[in-house]
Amino acid sequence: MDYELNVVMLACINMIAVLGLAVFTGFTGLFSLGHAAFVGIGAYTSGVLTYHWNAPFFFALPAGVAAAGLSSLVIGIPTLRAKLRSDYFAIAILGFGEALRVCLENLSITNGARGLSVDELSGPAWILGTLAVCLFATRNFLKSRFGALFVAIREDPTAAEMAGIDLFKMRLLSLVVSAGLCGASGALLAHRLAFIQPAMFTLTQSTQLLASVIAGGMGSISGPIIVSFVFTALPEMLRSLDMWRLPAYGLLLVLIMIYRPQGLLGYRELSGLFRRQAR
Amino acid sequence: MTTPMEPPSKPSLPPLLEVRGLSRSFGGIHAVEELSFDVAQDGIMGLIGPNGAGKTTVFNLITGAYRPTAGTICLRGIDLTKKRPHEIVRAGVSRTFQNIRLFNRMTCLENVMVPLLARGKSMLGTFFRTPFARGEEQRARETALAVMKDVGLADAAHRVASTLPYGLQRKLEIARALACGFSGQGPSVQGPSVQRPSAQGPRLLLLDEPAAGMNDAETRELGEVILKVQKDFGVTMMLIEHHIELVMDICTHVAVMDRGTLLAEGSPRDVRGDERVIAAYLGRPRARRELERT
Amino acid sequence: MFLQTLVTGLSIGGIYSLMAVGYSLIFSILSFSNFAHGAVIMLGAYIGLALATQLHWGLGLVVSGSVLGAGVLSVFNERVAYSVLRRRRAPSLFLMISAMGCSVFLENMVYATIGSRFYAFPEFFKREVVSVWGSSLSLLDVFAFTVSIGAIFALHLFVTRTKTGIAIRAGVNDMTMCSLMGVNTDRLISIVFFLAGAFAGVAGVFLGIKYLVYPTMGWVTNKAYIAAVIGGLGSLPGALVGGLILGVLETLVSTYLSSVLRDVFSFTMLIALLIWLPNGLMGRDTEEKI
Repeated sequence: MDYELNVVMLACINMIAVLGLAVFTGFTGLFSLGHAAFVGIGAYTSGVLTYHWNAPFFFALPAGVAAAGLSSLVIGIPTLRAKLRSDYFAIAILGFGEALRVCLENLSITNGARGLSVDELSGPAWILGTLAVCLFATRNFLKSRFGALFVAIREDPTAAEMAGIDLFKMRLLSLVVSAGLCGASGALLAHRLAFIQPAMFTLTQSTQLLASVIAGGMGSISGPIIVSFVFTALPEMLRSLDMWRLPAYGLLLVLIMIYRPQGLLGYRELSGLFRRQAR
Repeated sequence: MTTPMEPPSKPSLPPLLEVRGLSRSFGGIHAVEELSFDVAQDGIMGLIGPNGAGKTTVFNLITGAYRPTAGTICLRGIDLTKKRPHEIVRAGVSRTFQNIRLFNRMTCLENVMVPLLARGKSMLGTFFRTPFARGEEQRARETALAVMKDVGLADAAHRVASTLPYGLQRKLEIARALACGFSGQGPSVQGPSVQRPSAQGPRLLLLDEPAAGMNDAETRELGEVILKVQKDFGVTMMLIEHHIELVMDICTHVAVMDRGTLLAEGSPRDVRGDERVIAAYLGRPRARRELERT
Repeated sequence: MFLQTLVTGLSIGGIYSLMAVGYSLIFSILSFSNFAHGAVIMLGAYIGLALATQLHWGLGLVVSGSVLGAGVLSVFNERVAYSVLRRRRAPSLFLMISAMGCSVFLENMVYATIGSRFYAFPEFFKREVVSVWGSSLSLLDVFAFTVSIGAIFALHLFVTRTKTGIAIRAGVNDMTMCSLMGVNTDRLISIVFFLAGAFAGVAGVFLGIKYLVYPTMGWVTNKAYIAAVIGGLGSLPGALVGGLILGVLETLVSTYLSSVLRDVFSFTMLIALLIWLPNGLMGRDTEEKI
């Protein structure tokens, strides 16, 4: 039972990060190969706070969110202002993530590549509570005017700009919100596993996040959430096949691009499946 | 967007848009060179010329999609050349595109709401769907519906934009461009249509080949819509068009471009008789025939 | 000291250039960043390793075998993962994601089947030191550098002098036009992928000899990608110049500042370049048409 609970908790934590990337990729239409970096920043910020200064978790968690959000400005402001081609943007974020990993590996406060052992502070209540709050707020946010503006930008950035949308500001807002969600996921992850290390936040993890969003479907919240749960829970249940998990991710990405680029629930929600097509 | 518009058709108004010495080159090729013209308040100015004359580049320069290499563009004395595209929209210039650019997966209503929502004020409230945020959305919805009604799209409000037939997509683009001029903050719109002419609505609407791909009947109907919109919203227009007939019918003033420069300018009647214009169109039998027929 | 740094930098840069050519070739014709290139290089190294340790072939044969193997793999990769997308005219981002998927798949397949062990090539080069301008350099570095430059020069001759090469360059400018003119674009693209794979094979063997062979060795190709961006994606001379510049700059940073900063420097440079000079030093100007 403990084991199953643990798997479900990890899947829930992962869901929050996938939710974050869904805002950015699924709704705003920008691709990122570096969102694991924001998960890492959330994890390390909160981890360092509780480890070195014995900060309470209710303080460390929002601090992780804030740090991830703020750090997204560092990469977001120059790249989004320059209106990079979408693939160049994805690569620039990849560069940011890799640079961050090298930094984490060499700082003494993070204990370098050996990793940091923190206390196990995030119980099921914290995880489920945070997930619920994140889901509620994100759903509202995407139903609001910002959701409509994000979708407009995804559909046609030039037309969106010529309809009076401040492209830079809106894309930055989307990035900050998504990075913040990833930060929350990271803070929870650090204090669930009670151990973090730079190798946990690399390109492979970023690719897994992106795979969940794409496989779940662009412009959908429920699709990526379902897929991320399956992606995390299934391999955990089938431990002996763990070795084949990553090749399967890779293969899945290729197959989706070829056969079903819209993903599981592309531009739809689970609730609306039998009613009407959402955006 | 809050300065009231002067009453229309007062004689000797200063021009709405003043373009002076406008140039833009792409890697040594002069797409637009030393272009100067005025757009009079409340008129419909036609911009014609052979393909590759630089007409769309002029629109792209006015709307800030490209930065000019030299020259100025002033809207009622406000320099637009240093502004970013969305700021130019807020100054009162909006446009349609040669190749239709709609937000394909959104409904028509949402398409028209986007420019209104872009001007919204709600921020943090959106996370909690506060009454303020919801009120703002409601007002945007009402304004958008009113604009759509005026353009004749009321029935299509809840259809997904990409499923519309071609002609309606053109109209939807016009409705979206018109919505750019509304603040979305004003008093909620009452009654069957927008109260007009008002301080709201865009001041300058740029239409890039709105009749492209339409047959004669559709083109004629579009001409009527354009005239109605001009009257209802009190908006000045610039029109790039290859249907010479349409240009001659609805424009109050015509400018002819060729190879990045202004060839001729004047009333439709003057331009039609201009030797240089005929020369520029020579070898384009259809255009020439149309020019002679009208 | 400075001269030594410069020479070392150039020798690393030569290998970067060799790998960067693959990115640039494919970008020039399909306008997307083929992130599977790193995995092809890694597989090229494994093929070379197998030939050298199992069949005990000499260096010349090992390189040829690896060139052939990686070339065929690269063509196969295109046929399976990209051709459907490109015929559908999918956005270049989809191609990039598909490439990402291939890279993850291939790398982890090697993990799962061959394992994460590090393998070494047999010693093809005596541990001899050559003196260049008064600074010392290993025989391998000199050889690798010479072969890299030679191969890139040969490729340059190929695309500028031969009929197929000229067809490739025409395809770079306008794929649709090319197919309307009766050029078999599928064949053309296969040739380009084969060439990119061939270069990956050479690079893989050199990397494997210089360092070791292991599943994530393709990570180094991130550097080669940066080199291609510096030179301007899609430009062959750009790939050469970009590789050399990056090699020298990196060596300078790790010699005079710190080796930890080296990678941070490279990635920061990548971001800065994408922002301020997205077309690189020699790339083509691309502006969206409205």
